[in-house]
Amino acid sequence: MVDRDESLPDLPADWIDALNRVDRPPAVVTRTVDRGLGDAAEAQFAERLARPAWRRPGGWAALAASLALVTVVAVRWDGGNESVYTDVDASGHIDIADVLALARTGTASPRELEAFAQRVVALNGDASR
Amino acid sequence: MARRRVDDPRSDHALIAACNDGSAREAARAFEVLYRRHKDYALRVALRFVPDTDTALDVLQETFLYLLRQFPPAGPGIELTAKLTTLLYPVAKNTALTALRRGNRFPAADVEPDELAEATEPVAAGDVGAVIAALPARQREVLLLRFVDGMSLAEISQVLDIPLGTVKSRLHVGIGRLKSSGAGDDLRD
Repeated sequence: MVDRDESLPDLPADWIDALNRVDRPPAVVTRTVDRGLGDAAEAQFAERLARPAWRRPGGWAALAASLALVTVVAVRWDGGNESVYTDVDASGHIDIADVLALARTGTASPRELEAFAQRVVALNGDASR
Repeated sequence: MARRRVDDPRSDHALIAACNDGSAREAARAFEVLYRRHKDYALRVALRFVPDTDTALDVLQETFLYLLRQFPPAGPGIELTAKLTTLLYPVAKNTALTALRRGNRFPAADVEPDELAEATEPVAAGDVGAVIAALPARQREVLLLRFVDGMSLAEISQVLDIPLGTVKSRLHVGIGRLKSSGAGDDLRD
């Protein structure tokens, strides 16, 4: 048990036996102590069942992943914002000129403009068929 | 906790991990195994500092309650970087000394580790046990940690929170006292 390769004084085995005898042998641990600790452990760990998910081990990672997912979805949804699909230049129809007009106003994000343009192109493509 | 016998092959590190991150059932089970595995050691440490079994059992309970409170949700968890006994020893020792200072069971107040040595029986010539018991507490403590608990010098330094050189010094002096006492001559011959 004792590592002998350290540079330190050693004791004869008989002396070590004597040391062990001096060290009083453990008394019998009562069932009351056993049960008390067991109940305390079960009570404490049972609280894990009632904790919200974000407070459980790994909860922060799960929360971060959820936030990342929400962000991605929100950004994509933002790109599909219906409010930008308007007849910006009041020409009577929605076309690529409205995209350019919207861009000049500076009120739309690049992602919104791109989505607007793609939709206009798609709609015009459908109309031309 | 005395409900069933536990013979779990997992290491202390694995059990600590289960207490940190396992489900309620896994954590309670892992804690039970840790308790069963180390309760005798904690009790033995307690008995080095307190004079009776009842107080030692209180110390044992407080020691493991302290350990329990380190685990979630009560605490942040335990990162075990050494043997669990190096964590248990200072907790059991400090709890025992606190119990003595509290004076609930004993009139002694402000007990320091060194004073405890003088409470032992007088030395009888040729009696190795008596010589060991009569050593100053700090020297005896290092000898017990080294030769009974089997700790390395680094581990003793860690559990006592003293420099490695101090550990070596106490060990040298303690062994020197044992050898110069003449006790144990009959053992060596």
